Amino acid sequence: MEIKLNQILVLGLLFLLLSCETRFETNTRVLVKGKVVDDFGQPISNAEISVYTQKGTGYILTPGPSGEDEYLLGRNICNADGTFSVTSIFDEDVDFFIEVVSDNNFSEYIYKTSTLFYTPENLVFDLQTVTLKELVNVNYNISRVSGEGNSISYTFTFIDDFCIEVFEEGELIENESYCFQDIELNGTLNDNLPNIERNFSSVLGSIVEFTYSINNQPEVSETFTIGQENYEFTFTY
Amino acid sequence: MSLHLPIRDIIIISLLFLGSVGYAQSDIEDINKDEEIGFNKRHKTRQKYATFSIGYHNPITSGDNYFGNALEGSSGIDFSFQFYIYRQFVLGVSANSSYFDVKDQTIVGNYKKTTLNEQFLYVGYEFLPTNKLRLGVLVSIIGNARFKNKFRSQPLAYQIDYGNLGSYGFNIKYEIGRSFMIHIDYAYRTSKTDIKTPLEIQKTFSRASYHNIGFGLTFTIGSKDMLSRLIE
Repeated sequence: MEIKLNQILVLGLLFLLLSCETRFETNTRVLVKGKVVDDFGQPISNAEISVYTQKGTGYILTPGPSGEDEYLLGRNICNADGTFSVTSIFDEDVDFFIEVVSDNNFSEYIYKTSTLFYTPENLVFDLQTVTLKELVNVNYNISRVSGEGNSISYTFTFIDDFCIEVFEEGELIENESYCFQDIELNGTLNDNLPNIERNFSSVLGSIVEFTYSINNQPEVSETFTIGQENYEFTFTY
Repeated sequence: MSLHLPIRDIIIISLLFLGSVGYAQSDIEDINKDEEIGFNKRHKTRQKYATFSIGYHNPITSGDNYFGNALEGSSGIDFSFQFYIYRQFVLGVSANSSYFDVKDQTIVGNYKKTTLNEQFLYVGYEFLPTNKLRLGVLVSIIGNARFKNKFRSQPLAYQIDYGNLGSYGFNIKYEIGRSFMIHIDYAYRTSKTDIKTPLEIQKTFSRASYHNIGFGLTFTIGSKDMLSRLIE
């Protein structure tokens, strides 16, 4: 069988295009350290700190299909005093991030940076003090008691339970970061759907603004403070 | 277990062995002549020209370092080739692969397995305590180590560390035939790594060390050392 050179070249190029090998930085370990506390400055033990990098999969010339392209490079748990130290492999990538997660009662924190042209000083990512806020579920129940033909438009404005800080060469980029910002949850109830019972997550001790308009009348606002776990809010119209 | 020895090393060692077989042909003619003279003369000669060994070993990690504290050895293979320079003084080259499982990822990073490939040049001496036994002591002159740390196999994700290698060991060989031996061996291997780390964990990653205990087969060629051949 005669194998032509151009056939070998085509096969070789195809092999390269479909190569899925991922290699991280040679001869390098980094350290991620800091302390995790709650809103009152009390240490949170057993929070989990994970270091990730995210690479495109599949192809050299064009981005590959999305899938399992997130790689966990290092992970550890906080000490009893809230301090942590994570030994991790290092990767030069635009998506290098460190995730701090406690149990479901606390918010999550993400430190995101690009390490494509940046290596931290002394190979240490010092997150210093990371504050996780205690979260609560707000269960709301809005029901119609006024009979058919009546409708209500409503908005809950509350603090989102998510925080991601974006850094560039060790400096915080505020306009790309998103931390515990106000978020709105809207809805309309009418003859098609007169009642609703749902929930959302927000920060313990924060203020929620409930704004509503019944039958397109001027809006009315009221506020309440989420002072306990599983806060119940009931409204009738 | 997958065979992950650099192909280049196997080819070099195999070429050395094959080349030496050809060079040692004259020894076979000498031996045949001795057989014409008498059996005893041949039997007294235990001098060899070269040997080729292949073996299996069990690596046992050690030391207060990332290797000793976070990795556990599972298996390994060895290839080596040595010349007898003068009498029982030897000079050899060795290429090995050892396989380790990570038992504590919080110390090293989140990978699961390490494959260690080593190559080194060594010198040594073989004592001949009895008619059939040989006791060799070996020390490396120069060597290098390559640690391939695997995260996942499909698709493959890995990271590489490098280091210099030192090997100190001994072997006991039993001669079964004129050109064939079985052996057991021990070596202490230590690598000064090239891993860059923060100061806080520098001591943990500066060195990797482990003990090797193994067994294998040795094939010999020739009956004169290298210096004797050159003088003649």
